[in-house]
Amino acid sequence: MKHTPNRKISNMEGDSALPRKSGELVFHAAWERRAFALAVALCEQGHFQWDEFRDHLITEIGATDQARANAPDASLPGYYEHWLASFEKVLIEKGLCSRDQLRAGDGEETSQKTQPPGGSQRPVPRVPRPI
Amino acid sequence: MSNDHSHGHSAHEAPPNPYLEKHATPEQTAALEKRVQALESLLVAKGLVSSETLDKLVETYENDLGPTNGARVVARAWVDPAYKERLLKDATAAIGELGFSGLQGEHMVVVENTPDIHHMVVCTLCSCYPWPVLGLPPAWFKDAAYRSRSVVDPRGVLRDFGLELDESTAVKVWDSSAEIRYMVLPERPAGTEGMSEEELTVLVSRDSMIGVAKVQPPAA
Repeated sequence: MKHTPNRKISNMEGDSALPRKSGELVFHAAWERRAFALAVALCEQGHFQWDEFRDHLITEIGATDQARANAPDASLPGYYEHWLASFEKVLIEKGLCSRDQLRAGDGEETSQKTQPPGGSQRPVPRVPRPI
Repeated sequence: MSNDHSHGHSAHEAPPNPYLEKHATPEQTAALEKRVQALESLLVAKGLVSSETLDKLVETYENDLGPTNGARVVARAWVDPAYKERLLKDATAAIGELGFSGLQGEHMVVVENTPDIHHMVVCTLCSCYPWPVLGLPPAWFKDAAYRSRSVVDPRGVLRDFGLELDESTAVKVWDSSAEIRYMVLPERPAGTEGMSEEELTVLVSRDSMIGVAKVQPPAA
């Protein structure tokens, strides 16, 4: 079955417009592409309305635009960082994920058990060593 | 423009967009990759989405809008003379009337094909293209051969596309840029007099709106 893009998403205007070059979507890294797909997929499945997501996106972008006007700085969050933050907000609002679940994936801010570097799930054996 | 990063064709690039210039450090990128991966795993584990769905979805959006928006503009112009007049006078506004925009600053100009003059569109320096109406440019539009030959030998290019024009028909080539994007209003084919706007929309091909083809009459 051919999947048709949602015009509401494709044709977003103004600050929330998807970054494009000659019409083609611009993704700088794999995670941007993935974050894009996650939000669109859940919206298309009816978990939230696109406008609910877009409102967050506009707010996020607006805040950075203010900051950018004061101090131009490429290290300010980019479009898809706003996108990701907006998506996480919607997930929480809709009760699809809890704040803790989102933070658990966030690595640094994990308050619970930290994973050993390398991401191994295997517990590191703690054998008391004789001196 | 100061601090110009262009490669000599800045006029053809989209207007400056801070999000196209975003530079993340490798550490930032790695952290974000990890965060999104964790998010995806979480949502997959919750049964909210599958990785296959995501792959397919990105593909659709990267191939994005088809030329159907442009076809609707053309069909409206064919059936509504007042609309056609507005379209030829101020295409950006007339196209906006139908709800197609997101042009991000570029101006649209629509040129009308007649028995006397045939228009075709090229972007000689890159691939400027009115994507809100025509979708993404076909590969050949971005090809160096099309871009350079259209200017030198437009009739030859049209012949390659299977379009042989009468010698009496003048050919005019329009070079799209970031400032102006051209679209061709093709001739309405004979034998379509009784057709509705909706039926006409189906006839209008992408190539006819770039000006490398004529709209074919409906198969009898």
